[in-house]
Amino acid sequence: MSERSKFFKKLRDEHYTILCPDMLPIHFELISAYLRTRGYNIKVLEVKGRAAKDEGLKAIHNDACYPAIIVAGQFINELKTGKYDLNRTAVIMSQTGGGCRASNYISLFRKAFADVFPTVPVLSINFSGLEAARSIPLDLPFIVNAVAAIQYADLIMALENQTLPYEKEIGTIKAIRKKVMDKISAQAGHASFHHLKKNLRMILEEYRPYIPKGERKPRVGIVGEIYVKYSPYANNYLADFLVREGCEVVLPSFSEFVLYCIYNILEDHKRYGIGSPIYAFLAKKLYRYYLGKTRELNKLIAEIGATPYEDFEEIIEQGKRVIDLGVKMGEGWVIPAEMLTYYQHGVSNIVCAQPFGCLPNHIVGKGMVRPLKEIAPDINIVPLDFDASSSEVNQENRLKLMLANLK
Amino acid sequence: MKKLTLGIDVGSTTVKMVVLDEDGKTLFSDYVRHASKVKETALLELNEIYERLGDISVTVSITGSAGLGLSERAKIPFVQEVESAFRAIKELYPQVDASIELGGEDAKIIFITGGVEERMNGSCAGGTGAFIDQMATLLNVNLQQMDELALKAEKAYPIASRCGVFAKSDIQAILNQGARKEDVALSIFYAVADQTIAGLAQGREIKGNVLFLGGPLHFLKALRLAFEKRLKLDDEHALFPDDSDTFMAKGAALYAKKTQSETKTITQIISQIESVKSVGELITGKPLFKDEAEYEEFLARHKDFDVKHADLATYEGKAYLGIDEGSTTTKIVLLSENNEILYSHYEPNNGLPIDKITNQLKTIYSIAGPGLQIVSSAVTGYGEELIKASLHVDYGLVETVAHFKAAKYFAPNVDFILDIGGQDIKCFRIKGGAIDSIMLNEACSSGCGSFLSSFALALGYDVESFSRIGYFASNPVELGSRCTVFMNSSVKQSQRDGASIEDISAGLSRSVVKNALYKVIRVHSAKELGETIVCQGGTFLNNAVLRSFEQEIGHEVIRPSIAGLMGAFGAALYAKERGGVGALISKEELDGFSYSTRHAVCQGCTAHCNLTILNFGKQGMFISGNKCEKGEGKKAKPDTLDIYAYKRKRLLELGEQPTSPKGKVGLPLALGMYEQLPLWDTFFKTLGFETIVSPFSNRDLYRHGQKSIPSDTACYPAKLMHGHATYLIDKGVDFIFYPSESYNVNEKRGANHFNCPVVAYYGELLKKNDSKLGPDNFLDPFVDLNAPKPAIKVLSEALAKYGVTSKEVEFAFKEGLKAYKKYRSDVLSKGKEIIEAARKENKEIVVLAGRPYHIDPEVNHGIDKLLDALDVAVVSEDALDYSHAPLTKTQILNQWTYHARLFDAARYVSENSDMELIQLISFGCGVDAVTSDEVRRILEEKDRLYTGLKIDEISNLGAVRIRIRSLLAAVEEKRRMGK
Repeated sequence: MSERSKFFKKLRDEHYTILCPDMLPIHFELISAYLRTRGYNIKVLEVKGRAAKDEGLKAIHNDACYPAIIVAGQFINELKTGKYDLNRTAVIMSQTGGGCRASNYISLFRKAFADVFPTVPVLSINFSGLEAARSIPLDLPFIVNAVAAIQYADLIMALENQTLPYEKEIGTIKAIRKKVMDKISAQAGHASFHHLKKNLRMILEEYRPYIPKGERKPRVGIVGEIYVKYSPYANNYLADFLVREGCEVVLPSFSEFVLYCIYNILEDHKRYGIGSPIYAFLAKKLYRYYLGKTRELNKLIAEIGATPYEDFEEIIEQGKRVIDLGVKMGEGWVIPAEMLTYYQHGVSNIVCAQPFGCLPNHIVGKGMVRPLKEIAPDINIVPLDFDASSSEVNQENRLKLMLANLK
Repeated sequence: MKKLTLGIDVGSTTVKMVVLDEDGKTLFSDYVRHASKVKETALLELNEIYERLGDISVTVSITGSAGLGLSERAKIPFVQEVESAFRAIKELYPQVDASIELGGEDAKIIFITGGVEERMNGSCAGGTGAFIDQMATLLNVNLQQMDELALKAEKAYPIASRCGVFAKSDIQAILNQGARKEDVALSIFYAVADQTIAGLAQGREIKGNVLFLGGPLHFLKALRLAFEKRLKLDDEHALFPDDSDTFMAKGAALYAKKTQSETKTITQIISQIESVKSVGELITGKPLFKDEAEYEEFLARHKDFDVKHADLATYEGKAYLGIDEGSTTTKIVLLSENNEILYSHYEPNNGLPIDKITNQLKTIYSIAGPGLQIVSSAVTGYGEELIKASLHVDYGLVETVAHFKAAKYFAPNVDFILDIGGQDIKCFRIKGGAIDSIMLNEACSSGCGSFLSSFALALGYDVESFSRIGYFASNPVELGSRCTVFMNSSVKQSQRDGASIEDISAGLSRSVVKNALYKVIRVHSAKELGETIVCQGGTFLNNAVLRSFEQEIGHEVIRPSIAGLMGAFGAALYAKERGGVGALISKEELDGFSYSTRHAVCQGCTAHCNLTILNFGKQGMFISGNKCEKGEGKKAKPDTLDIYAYKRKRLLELGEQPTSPKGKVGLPLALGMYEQLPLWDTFFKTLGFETIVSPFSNRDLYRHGQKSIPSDTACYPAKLMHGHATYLIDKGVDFIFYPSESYNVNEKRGANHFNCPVVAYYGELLKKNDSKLGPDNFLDPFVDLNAPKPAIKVLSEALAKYGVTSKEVEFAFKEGLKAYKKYRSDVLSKGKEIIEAARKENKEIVVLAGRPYHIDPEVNHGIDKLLDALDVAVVSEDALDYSHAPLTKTQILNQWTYHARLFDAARYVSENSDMELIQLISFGCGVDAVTSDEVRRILEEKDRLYTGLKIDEISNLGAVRIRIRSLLAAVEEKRRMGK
């Protein structure tokens, strides 16, 4: 047995608790539900309060990006509670392996942990062959199950965003989330987890009565760096704020990011001949398969009168109007592409969220506002920086300006 | 009864209220500073309205950044301030094309004609009005005086305009060079104008009728002129309404009139605001002292580290003078033969260091009896050279050495020294009796100490009483630690959430400490600092700061009673040790001493440094502001041992232009082009194009392109790119070429070979943000130099319209690669040559490690020349040959070509004991946040010193000089101890 297999066997046999950051609470919870059936005791963190930010500021170079700071902070904060047996606890992070510094989070954490929690391993989950010894072995069953989990989670996220602003009784929608999450999680590891259509329909039916029929509230799209875009903790509960202000929030699906990553592999092969033809062939297969999955989901969403996610191929086409699709670091070309696609579909108000000083976003976020305005003069974009030290007043005031111009 | 309407504007520093009648006539209008007491001030103003107009019924709305919270809780409608300005403009000034508003913390712009656009400054560049306030404090004048000064200015200095903190560093340096206050004041206003224009216009031109709004622009004439000049507006097109200070309040009133139907009486509004309770969730830490007893114990413990004093008037014998001319303060200590303090003094220098010290010397001479002989003297700090030259001080010494000497006096076993002054935070780790590593803050975290005092002043306290009220605060607020601009807005936030002034005071003190600990020293526990820790610097005299530090690290520390004078004390000890030559200006000379200041622009080279020349008559003169010896009229040394100079020369050794060119291509000398110029220049010439290469950057070039920068937090080398593009367009090129390269050359020194996102894709940004550029005249094809086939295809397609075939492109590409390889190998052999020569001459060798584009003189601000002037041989990270060495083991993901060289360089230096490494880090470089820690680790693993220099638009080399000299002094000391 290889070192790596031995290591991961030990994690399973000794029931290590594996802490996972809060980026996408619904998605990560469902994927974890599956991984738990494989023997990995994963716990998705729920973060609150300022302590995690302060711990992060202490542990990580303050010029490193904000997601690195808060993820490290939430781990350290959690480990310090004393709830865990430090000899049987690990933490896990995803890595994309792109040219942005995000791929270095793991190394930063390892450095930070070396002093305080030397016994806690930092695990990686990635498809790039990085960190070979410490990255969770991903096999075909994992991929198939993860795809299913992401489908469910994307659906729940979309329906929640479309119903929450209209709920008559506060708490109704969150209760539905809990209900469907429990139902789906319970199936993890069983064959029924793969009865996609059936399960998706079940979710749809739960939300269906709450889908607004009449006039919609002004819709505000949130795009940007993946962590601050999704994590409510990281973006100071941006979605809640917008709902309170009388808006409906539109978020891109997580599948879209996955497709974007696969698409970049294809582009790299096409443009620079990177990767073997077989690798490219398989990537292409995966891309078509996955694209098909997202289209199935979209069709189902449309069937009940809710708004589906944007089609990835349309995002590609819109993207080409603004930026060269060779820009592939961080969220790359997909950010301006999303903004334009939203605009085409009537979502002209957009918050572009990024960590303070985010390198790719100089180019693909703030750098693309002007060309977007040339194409779409009445697009209403507010670029918003997030940082462990920036004050909410400043952010709210800028959001208020965007809201004053709601389209 | 007529319908009246009330607009309330609660900004970050002021409250404005306006009452309008139905016809829009102003019945009441007032502007007051709220000194952070938002609610109270608003109530006072409302009472004022009540007094004057009676209990009128009005429609009402609130605007302003601090109004947000107030409106929510008082249940009074809110309108965003930019929106409220927009409404007022449309109603009152329909002819306006654009407006600029400066507030206390925010700057805003509204474009009206040609598509409405409203914009606020980003999270950086926060300081505007508040920044001007701070600068006035620095100059020791009030705002009105500062305005008057600026109007009498003769010249303006270039000052970094990225943000208030950065500008402050530049200003401090200019002040220390003896620049006239008048000129400094004007420079400050220009910096504000530049910052606003660059940060907000983002490529859109501000033209037509421009309306200027907000308090600072209302009250400060010189600031108005600065904006008019920068925007090239005449009086007719620059509009300054009489009520610009209360304009947004008026807008809020107009908003209320339009949108509100319900009226309220003033008494109703008062009671609504009175009922406001803070409900925000405050994040707080533990109190500084839990009770009086704990405080007493703390005081008693720190009493132990006192020095003896002796009477200057009766003292007879030898005495030793130490001067510490810091960035904001002057410190003097006169020591007796028995190390008793005969005289000491500490005061802000207000930008007049020479005057302050001559006054002090006069005081000493007048108090002292005839028996006093000052036999030796030494000076340290920012103003070292100035003071040494003007007052004939015997010795100059590096700050670190002075502080170490002083600390050792109190604690011979000192392990760690932390010095927090007004502007700087300095930390040294001591190992085996020598300085082992030095950490200095960089621009972002500077000014913490003085922030505390100017904040106190703004609230009407002196710093001591301000910090005292925080001692027993029960819930000190957490204010974050990025920089003083962020801290400032966190304070506003916490006030909104109901923090008391006591809690803020304690929170601020803790914030300063956290900045030092987690941003500068980057520690996790006291263990790393060692057993004996000495805390000094003026800011540590503040018990709240000292206490916060002890709490934060959980360890007791030593603070000498003369914490604020340690530099001067150390200098005096040094003077005593060295014996002295007694050259110090005498009592008689002092009476006749005077000097004059003159300014000139150095013509020695294209850098055109701004020189400040102080003339002391017979005593000689002192020139500052220069980056090399030429400025002092000396002949520059032949920079044969400076590889930066070599690379600058070698890079421009390009081939002949073709005789009948197919077209004219512009190559911007910035970012990645700094290494690939030989490649692309050869490529295009071989294809038959004429090439125009933009020159090395300078401030003017930067300013010309500044207006199209979309992201103000990008690094300076990237922002310069805009200037290069503008230059090339002006030169009439057919197109500009800057390839997009996700991947750099694979040198096989890491897991991957990426470029950073900015180097890789800046072309995409440039093409789309400069209105003069487009797909026809800006080519940024996506190429990977490691994959020639697709590269040739893409290049052929891009150049097809110029009638070149792919065969020709293929040939040209190969020629280009050859030229590139030749350049790289020339740099490598030059590196070798310099190292050998330096070893022969027994010279110090420094690897100045950065990126290829760091050789740009505007990017590195002449640091290589500075090293050269200090007689140090300079090599670069790409001039060391690692090709046969095994891969450098890193703890991080080593995946960028340029950065892999840094790790290799660090290892190389760690294996060669006669070399040192200085890393150049551009501000905003996110990748270097990762690499700098790793480079440090590699060096420190082998017990070597790490020095990182953060560079940006700031051209202040004062701090850099000190760092380099500290490094050299520490190296010398280490070697001496080693022998």
